Amino acid sequence: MNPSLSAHGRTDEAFQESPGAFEALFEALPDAVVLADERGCIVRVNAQVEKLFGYSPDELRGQPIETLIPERLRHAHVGHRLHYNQAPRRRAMDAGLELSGRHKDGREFPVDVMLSPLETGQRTLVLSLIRNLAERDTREALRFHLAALVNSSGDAIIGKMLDGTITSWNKSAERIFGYSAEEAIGKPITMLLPPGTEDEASDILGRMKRGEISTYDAVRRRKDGRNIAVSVTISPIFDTLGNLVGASKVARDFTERKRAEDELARRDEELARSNAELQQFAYVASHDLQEPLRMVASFTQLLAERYQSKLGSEADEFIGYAVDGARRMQVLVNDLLEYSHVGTRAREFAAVDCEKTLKTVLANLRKSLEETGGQVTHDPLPPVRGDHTQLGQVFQNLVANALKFRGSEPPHVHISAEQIEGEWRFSVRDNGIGIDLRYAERIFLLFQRLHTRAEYAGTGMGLAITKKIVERHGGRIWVESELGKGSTFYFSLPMKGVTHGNGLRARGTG
Amino acid sequence: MEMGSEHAEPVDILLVEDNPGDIRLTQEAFRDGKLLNRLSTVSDGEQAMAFLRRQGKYGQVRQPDLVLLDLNLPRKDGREVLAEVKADPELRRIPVVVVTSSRAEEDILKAYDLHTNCYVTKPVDLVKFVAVVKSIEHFWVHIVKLPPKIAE
Repeated sequence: MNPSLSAHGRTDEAFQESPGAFEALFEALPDAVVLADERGCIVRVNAQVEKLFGYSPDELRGQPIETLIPERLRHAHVGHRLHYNQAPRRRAMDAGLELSGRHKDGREFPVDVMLSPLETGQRTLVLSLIRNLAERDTREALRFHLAALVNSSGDAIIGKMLDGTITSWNKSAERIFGYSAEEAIGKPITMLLPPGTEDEASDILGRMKRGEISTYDAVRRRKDGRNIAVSVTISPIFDTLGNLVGASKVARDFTERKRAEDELARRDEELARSNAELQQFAYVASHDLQEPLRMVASFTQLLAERYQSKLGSEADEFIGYAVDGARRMQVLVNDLLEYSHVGTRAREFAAVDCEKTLKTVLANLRKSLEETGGQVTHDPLPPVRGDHTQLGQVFQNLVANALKFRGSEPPHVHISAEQIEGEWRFSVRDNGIGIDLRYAERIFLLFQRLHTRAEYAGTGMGLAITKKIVERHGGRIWVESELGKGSTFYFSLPMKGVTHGNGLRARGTG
Repeated sequence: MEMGSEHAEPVDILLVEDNPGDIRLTQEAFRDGKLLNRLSTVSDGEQAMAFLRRQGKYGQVRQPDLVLLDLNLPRKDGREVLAEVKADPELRRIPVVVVTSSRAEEDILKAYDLHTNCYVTKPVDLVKFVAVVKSIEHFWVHIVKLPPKIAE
C-alpha cells in the first residue's frame, strides 16, 4: 500500500531513510496530486484531490485517470496517455493547454496539469499535479479589477517603500503630477516636494515608519514645475506577516477648489473692507457735516431773531426758507448718523425678551398713542437673540409708523409672532392708510418718501434703519398692504440666533 | 438766572476754540446774559498753553478762572492741552470745561481720564446752544466756589 518511491533521476537520501517525511510532503502539497500506473489506473491521490474532485481516495484507487476528466474528452485522453507513455517526460504547467477537470458532481472546471514520469524500479508511474485554475482566474480577475479601480480613480494612488521609493503610480498620478509611471517608479517620492519643503520629507517618512495613517493638505510640485495644492492620505502597507513594508499615498488635486475658495475669501474681505469704508464714510460725512451745518442753522436763526421784519417781507421769507432748510438738513444728517450707527455702535447679541422690549417701546410712544387714540395689542412674543436696543428700535419704528400713517379710524396695531421654517416671523399689522404695493420695496431705501413733507413729516430714514437692523440680525423685512385698508409689516429673525451681528465689529479688517 | 453768590470781581474766562462761528455764538450768548465777565479767546492749543502760562505776547494777561476748551484744535489739540494743564501744579486747579461737538464715547472717557472738570456737547440748535453757554457761565461763576487766584 505504501510503495517506496524515489524521484525520477534523483535519489533523495532523506526521503529514502524517512518515508514519513515524504508522506507529509505529499499530503501538504497545495496542488492535487494523482499517481497513475502505465495503464492509466489511479494508484494514489493526496488530500487535495478530494477537495478538488469530490472523490475520496478509496473511490479513486484503481479507477482510470479519465474519471477525473469530462466525458466528452475521455476518449481523446486515452489516446494522449498512450502517446505519452511511449516517451514519458516531464511536462510543466503553463504549457498553454486548455485543460478541464470534472468534479464528481459532473461540474467542469479549468485546470492546469504538470506531468512527470516516476520510476519506481519495477514500473513507471505518472505523477500528475493538478491545479484548479478557476480559483486563480477569480484571483486574477480580482487583481485586474483592483488594478482597474486604482487606475480609474480620479485621485493619484501611489505605492512607495519605506525609504520613499515609488513602487506604483496610477493614471491619475500621471495626470496630476505630470510624470509617467515609467518616469516615477523607482524614484524617491521627495521629487514631488517643492524646493524649500524638504523638511516635510523626513516628517512624512517618520510618520510612515510609525505606521500611522495621516491626512494633510500640502503643496506639491508637478513635473512642469507648477505647484499644486493636494490633499493627501498616507496609509501603511503591511505584508502577510504584519511587517510594515511601505505606504500607499492617495493624493487629490484641489488646486481649483482652493483657488475658488481663496477667491471667495478675497472677495469676502474686499466686501467687508468696502462695507467698513462705507460705514466710515457715512459716519464721517454725517459727523463732519454737523459742524458747518450748525453754523448755517445757528446764524440763520440769529439773523431771523434779530432782523425779523426789519428787512422787508421778502427778506423774512428768504430767511424762513434758509432756517427751514438748515433744520431739515440737520435732521437728515442726524438720521444718517443713526443709520451708520446700526453697524458701528453694534452691541454683542444677547437674549432679548420681546415682550419687555415692546413694553418699553409703548411707554416711549405713550404721548403719540394718547394723541391719536391708538391702541396696541399683541400675542405672546418669544424671546430672541439680538441687540435689545436695536430690536426695540425696530418695534418703535414700526409702531410709530402705524400711528403716523393712520386712517380715519383710531389706529389699532397688532403685533404677533409665529414660528416658520426655523425662524420667528413677527408681524405688525395696522388699520392705516396702507401702501401702494408698487412702492413696497422703495419704502425701505434711504431717504425714500411716498408723501410730501406737508402731508407727513419725516426724512424717510425710519424704515431704512429698521431694515438695516433686521438684516444685521440675520433676518428680512417686507410689507403686505392694500391701499386704504392697512399694512402688515413682517420681519423674520433666525431662531438659532446669530452670535454676532454682521456688523463690522465682528470681523477683522483683514 | 441771578442766583447764588455774586462775585465781587468779574471772572476771567478763556475760550479755546478754532471755529470763528462758535466764538461769535459764545460771545453772543455771553452778551445776552449781560454778564460782566471777561472772555478771552485763542484759536489753537499752543496759544492756549502760552496764554495760560502767560508767555510771549500773553505776558500781561490775567490768568483765567475758567477754561472752555474745544477738543479738535489745530497744532496742539484739546486733549493735549487738557493733559498739560492737569499735569501742571500751577494750572491744574483751573476748572476746564470741555465744550465740543463730539458725542463719541471714547472722547468723553478720554477727557474725564485727563481730569476735565466737565464735558459738554455743543447743541445743534441755536437757542439750546445759547442756553447751554449761559448755564455753564452761571454754574461756574455763580454757584461754584472757584479757587483763589494764584498770587500774581
